Amino acid sequence: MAEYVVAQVAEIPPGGRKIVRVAGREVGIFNLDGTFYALKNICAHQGARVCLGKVVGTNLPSDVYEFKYGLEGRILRCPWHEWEYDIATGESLFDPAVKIVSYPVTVVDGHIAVSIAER
Amino acid sequence: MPVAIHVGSEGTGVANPPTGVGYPTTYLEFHTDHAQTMMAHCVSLLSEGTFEEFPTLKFAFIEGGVTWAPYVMGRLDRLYPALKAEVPYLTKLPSEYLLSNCYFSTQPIEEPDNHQHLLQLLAMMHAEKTVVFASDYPHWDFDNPLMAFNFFPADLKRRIFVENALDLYGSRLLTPNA
Amino acid sequence: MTATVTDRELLDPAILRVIDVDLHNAIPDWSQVAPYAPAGLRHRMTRQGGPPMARHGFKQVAPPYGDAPRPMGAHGQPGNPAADPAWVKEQYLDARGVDLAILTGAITSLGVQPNADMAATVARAVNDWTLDRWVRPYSCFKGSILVGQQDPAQAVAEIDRLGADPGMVQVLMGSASETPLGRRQYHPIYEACVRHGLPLALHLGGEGAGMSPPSTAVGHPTTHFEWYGSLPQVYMAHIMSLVTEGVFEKYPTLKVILYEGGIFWVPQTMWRFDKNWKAQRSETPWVKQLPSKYILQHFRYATYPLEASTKEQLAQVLEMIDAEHTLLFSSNYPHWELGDPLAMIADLPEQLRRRVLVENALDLYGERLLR
Repeated sequence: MAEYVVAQVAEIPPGGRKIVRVAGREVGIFNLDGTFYALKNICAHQGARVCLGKVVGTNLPSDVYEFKYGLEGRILRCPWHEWEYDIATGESLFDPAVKIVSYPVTVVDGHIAVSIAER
Repeated sequence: MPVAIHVGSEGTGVANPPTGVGYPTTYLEFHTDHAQTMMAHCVSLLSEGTFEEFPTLKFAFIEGGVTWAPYVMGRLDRLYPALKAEVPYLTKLPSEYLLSNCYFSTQPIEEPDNHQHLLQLLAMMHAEKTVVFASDYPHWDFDNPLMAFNFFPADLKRRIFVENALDLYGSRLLTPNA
Repeated sequence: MTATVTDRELLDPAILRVIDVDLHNAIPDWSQVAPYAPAGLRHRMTRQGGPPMARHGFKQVAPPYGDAPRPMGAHGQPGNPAADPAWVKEQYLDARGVDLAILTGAITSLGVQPNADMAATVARAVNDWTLDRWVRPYSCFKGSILVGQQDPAQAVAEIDRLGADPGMVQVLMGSASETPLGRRQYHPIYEACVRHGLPLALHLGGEGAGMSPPSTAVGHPTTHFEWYGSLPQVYMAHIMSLVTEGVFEKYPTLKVILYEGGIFWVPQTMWRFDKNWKAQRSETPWVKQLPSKYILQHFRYATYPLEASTKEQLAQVLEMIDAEHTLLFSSNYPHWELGDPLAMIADLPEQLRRRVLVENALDLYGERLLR
C-alpha cells in the first residue's frame, strides 16, 4: 500500500467534495460531518464518473407505504442511472456486494491522504 | 424508409392506460411497463398481416428492450396452426415475419447476472439480424456502449453496433446530408 | 355449510402420477346453479343464457376443444366435453393417468363485472354448486374459491366462508381488472388468502370486458388471435404492481399462480424490473430485495400453453425461471385447440418431469390436495 496526500482539509468543507487524480485514477474525496472518505470515480454499473453525482439522503427500507427519509448527505447517486451508494462504505444500497472501490483515508496536520494498493 | 416507434407518452393525452389492466402507481412500474406497449404493437403488426401486405417494410421498436421478442414469436407460433382461420392472409408463421421485418433496439439492454441467459434469448430472436444498438443518450436509463456489451461475442457485437443498422436504414446512413 | 371430511386418509403423494392444476369445468345449464343463489337474485340465473356477465368481443373463430373427448350431445351433435364430471373423470383423467385436477370453471371476467353484488352472488352460487356437483362426489376434483375483486369486502367474506373447506385448494380471480392488482384496495383479499393458507390463482380471459380498460397498453386488439397473443402482457403489469405495492412484504407466504400465459416473457420482466429497481429503489423503499427474487419466490406458472420452441430453447427458458420450482402441469381441459396438454410438455427435460407433473403442485397447494 502507498499513501498519497491528495488534498487539504481546508479545501473540502463538510458536505463538500473534491475529485483528484492519484495513482493513475480519479478518486472522489468527500467530507461527511468532518470525516473524510475516498471513492474511486468509477460506478460499478457501466463505468460512469460516479463521484460527480448528487449527494443526497434517501428513503430507507421501511414498512409498506411508509416513507422514512434518512442518511441525509451520506448517499451518492450516480449521475447516469442513479444507483445509490453509501459514501462511508462505497456499498450500493440495493446490494452491499455491489460497490464502488473505496480507499482508507488518514488526516494528519490538515493533509488528507488515501492509501492505495500498488499494482 | 423504415418506421420506428418509441415509448414515452403512454397514458397521456388521449392515449389508453399504459397497461391492459389500467394505470400503474409508480414511475418504477410505468417505466418497466413500457415494454408492453412494444409487445402489443408487435403482436398487432404480425396479426394484421402488415408484413404480408408490405413485405419490404422494416419496423423498429425503440426503447422497449429486446428479450420479449421470443415470447411473441413462441406464443403466436403456438396459436397459428390452430387459429389461422382468423388470420387467413398470413402465409408464413408469425415468427418468420418478425425475423424478416422487425428490428429491436438494445436500450435499455436487459442485465441478468447470468450473461449466458441474455445471449440465449438474443439467439432465439436472431439478434445477429434483428437487434440494433441504441444509447438513449442523454436519458438516465441509457446504456454505455463502451461497457454494456463487453461480454458479447465480437461478431454479434459488430452486427448489433453497425451492420444491422445499415440493413435497417440502408444507404441513407452513409450518404452526406447536404 | 361445512363439508364432511371423508373417512379416507390422506393420499400418499408417492402414488400420484399427474396433477392437473387448470381444468375448466362447465356449467351446462345455469338453472342448476340458480338454487344456490338467494331468492331475490335467482331470476338473474334462470334467464336465457344465464346471468348477464361482462363480455368482450374476442370470440375464437376456430373450432373449439381440439381433440378433447366429446360426449354425444343433443340432436346427435357433439356435446360439451366439460359438462359432466363423470365423463371428465372417465374420458380424461382415468384415460390419461391424471390423478387430481383443480377446477377453475369458465368465468374469467367476474372482477370487471360492473354490478359488484351480482358478481359476488355469482361467485357464491358457483362455488357452492361446484362443491356439490363436482368436488363432494369425486375425490379427484378440487375446487377454487372464485371471487370478484371489485368489492374486496365481499371477496374476503367468501374466502372466509369457504377457506376451511377441505374441497377448496385456492382462491381464483380473473386477471381482467380495472387497475393493477397490487393496489392497496385489494390487500384485504391477499390477507384473507394467507389467513387460510391458500394460494391465489389468476386466469386470463376477461381482458377488455366490462369495466376493463382495453386489453393492451395501446388499445383494443382486432382479432381473437391478436387478443390471445397479447394477454401475457397483463400478467407483466400485475407482477410489477404486486411487487412494487409491497404485497409480498406484507404477506410473505402468499403465492400466485398465473394460468394460460406461457413463460417465455418472464425473464424479460424480471430483468427490466431489476434494472429499473436498482435505479428507482427510493421510490418504493419497502421493496427490500431485487424484484426478480420476489418473482421467483412468489409466482408460479402453468404449462398450457407453452410457447412453440425448440427443445433446447425451452430448456434454456426453464432454467431462467427456475422451472424446477415454478412450473406446474395444466391441461386447460377442454380447450385443447393448441394441442394435447401432455404432448405439449414432451420436450421437458427428464429431470423436471415429476417436479412439473406432481411435486410443484404439492409444494404450492400442500396437504389440501391430498385430503
